[in-house]
Amino acid sequence: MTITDSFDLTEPEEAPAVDSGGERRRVGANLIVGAAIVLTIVATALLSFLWTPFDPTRVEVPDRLKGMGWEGHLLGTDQVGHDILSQLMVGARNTLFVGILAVGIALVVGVPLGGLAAARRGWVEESVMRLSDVIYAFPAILLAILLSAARGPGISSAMIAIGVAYIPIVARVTRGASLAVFQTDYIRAAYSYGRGRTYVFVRHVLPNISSVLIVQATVLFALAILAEAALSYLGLGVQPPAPSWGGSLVAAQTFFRIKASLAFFPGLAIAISVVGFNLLGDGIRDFLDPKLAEKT
Amino acid sequence: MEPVLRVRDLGVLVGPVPAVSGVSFDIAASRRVGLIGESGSGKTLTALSIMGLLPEGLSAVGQVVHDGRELLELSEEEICEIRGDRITMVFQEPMTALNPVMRIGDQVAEVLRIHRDVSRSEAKLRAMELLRQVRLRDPEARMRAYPHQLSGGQRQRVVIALALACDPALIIADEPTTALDVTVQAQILVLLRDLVEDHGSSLLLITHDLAVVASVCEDVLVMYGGRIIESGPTRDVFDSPNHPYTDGLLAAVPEIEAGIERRSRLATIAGSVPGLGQFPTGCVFRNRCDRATEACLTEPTLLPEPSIESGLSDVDPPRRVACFHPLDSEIPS
Repeated sequence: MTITDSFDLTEPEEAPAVDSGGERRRVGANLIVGAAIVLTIVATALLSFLWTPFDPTRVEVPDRLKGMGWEGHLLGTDQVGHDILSQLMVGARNTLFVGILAVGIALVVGVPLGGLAAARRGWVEESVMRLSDVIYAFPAILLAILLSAARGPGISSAMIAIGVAYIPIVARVTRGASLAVFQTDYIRAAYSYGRGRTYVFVRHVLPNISSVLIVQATVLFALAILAEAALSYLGLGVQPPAPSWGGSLVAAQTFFRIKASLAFFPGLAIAISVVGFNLLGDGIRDFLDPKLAEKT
Repeated sequence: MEPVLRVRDLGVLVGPVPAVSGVSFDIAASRRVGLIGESGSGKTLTALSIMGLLPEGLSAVGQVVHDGRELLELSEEEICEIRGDRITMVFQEPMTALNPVMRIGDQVAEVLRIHRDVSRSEAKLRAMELLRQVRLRDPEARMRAYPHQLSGGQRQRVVIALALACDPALIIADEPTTALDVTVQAQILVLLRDLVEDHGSSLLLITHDLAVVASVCEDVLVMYGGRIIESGPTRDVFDSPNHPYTDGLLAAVPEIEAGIERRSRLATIAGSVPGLGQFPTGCVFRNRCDRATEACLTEPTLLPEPSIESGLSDVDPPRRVACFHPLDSEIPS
C-alpha cells in the first residue's frame, strides 16, 4: 500500500499532448465574403474623407436626374443634381458611425448588466432582467421619436435610441453565456485564487464569452444599419443636407414615377451592407466555434 | 504552537438537513492530514467551508481559525486575502480546473500578481520556476501553451503549481488524483507530497482511496455521515482501527494476490450509505454496524475534542474515536 519514492517524477517523455480532436478552425466562404463586403464599405467610408468624385453637397439643378455615366457621374445624379456615388460614399460614413456608436452603447451598458445578473443571481438578477424586459418591450422607433422630441432630431438621437434599444439584447446574451461559464470548475478555481466576483467576471468569464459577444455585435451592427436607414427615412436620423442612405430613399420616393432607379442605389447599398455584416457574423461564429457550425 | 488550522464544531446545513456536523480537528504546521470517507460523507463540503467557497445558498456554522482569525466571520474582502495566498486548493478535475482561454503561464502568474506586489516580468519568471518545480518538461514552451494542449497529468501539475505559488500555510487537495490514470496518480501524489514538504506547507488531502492516505499522510480523519468518526496517526489507525466503520473500510480494500488465487468475494459493509437526512438517530453508523447495542440507538456518539498535542508538528496526535463500543473494548452483553 505504499508508493516507492524511487521513480522519476518528471512528466513522462511521450505524455500525449491532448489536442481536443478535430477542432480545426475553418475560414468559411461566409467569413471571406462578409469580410470583403464590410472592408469595402469601411474603405469607401474612409476614402470619402479624402476624395469623392464630386462635392456630395453641391447642387447643380440643371444637371438633375441624369442617368448613369453622364459626364463622369458614374451612378448619375439625383433630383437636385447631387452626384449619387459621392452621396453614397459619404452616407456610408454616417451609417458606420451610427452603427459603431449604437453597438458600442449597447455593449458598454449591456455587458456589465448581464454580467452582474449572472454573477449575483437572486433579486439582483431578477431586477436587472425585468428592467431589460421593460426596455425590450418598448419599440425602438418610439424611443427614437421620444428622444428626437426631447433633444431634437439628429444623428446623436438616432444613435442613442438604437443603442438603448439593443441594451436588453446584449444583457440577455451576456447573462445566458455567463451563467454557463460561472458553473464551471475553473471559475470556482478562480475564486480560490482570492479575488471577488467583479475581477473573476472581467478576467475569467468575459474572455470565455467573447466569441458569443463578437458575433452578437456584428449581427446587431447589421440591424443598426437598417434601423439608422429607417430613422433617417422618417426624418429622425441624419439631417439633410448631410447625405445618408435612408435620407436618399425618402427623396427618391417623391420622384418614383419619374425616375424609379433613384431609389435603387441607396437601397442596394443598405441591402449589401446588411448582408455583409450578417455574413461576417456567421463567418466569425463558424471560425470561433466549429462545433456550433456543424450543428447548424 | 498554534495549529495552522483549527476547526471546531463545523457544520453545514443543506436545507434543514445537516450534511456536516460537529466536525473538529487541528492541522499542525507542516503536517499532512488525510480526510477519507465515501461519496456524500461531507468531505468536500468540509473543504469548501474552510475556503469559504460553499455553493450559493449553503452556509457553514462553527469555528474555523487560521492565524488567529475566525475565517467564517471574515468579510468577502478579508477572506480573499487568505484564499489563494495562505490557504489554497487543488481541485479534483484537472481537465476543467484551468481557464481554457488563458495561457498556462498567465494563469500561474496571475495568482502571484493578486497576492504579491510583483511586476509582470517578475511574476512570469516566478511562474516558470514553479512549472519547473512541478517537473514539467520545457517550462518555457509550456508557459505559452493553452490548457487543451496538455494532458490530464500535465494539467494537474499546473494546478499544483498554482496552489504552491504563494507558499501557502495550508493546501487543501480535493481528490487530486481521482481523475488520473493509475500510473500518473502515483507520480502526482509523490510530487505533491514532496513539494508540500519543500514549501513547508501543511496538507489536507481529501480522498476515498485508503492507499493514497497511507502513502502521503501522517494523520488521518475518517468521515461518515457528515461526522468525523475516527482520527489519529495514519499508521496506528490503519493497523488497528477502533471504529467498526474504519475496520469495515479497511477490510473492503481488495487484495490483488488473494483475488487471483481464491477468487474470493470482496468484503463489504452491510447496507449502503443512507441518503442525506435519512441517517439513524443515535450513532449514524448503527444500522450497518454489527456491534451496535441499545446504547447506540438514542445517544449520538461524539468525537472527543482535539487535545493540545494535536496542534503540535512533531508529536503524533492522540487517537480519537466516536463509538460506544470501539474495537479495543468488549461489547457489554
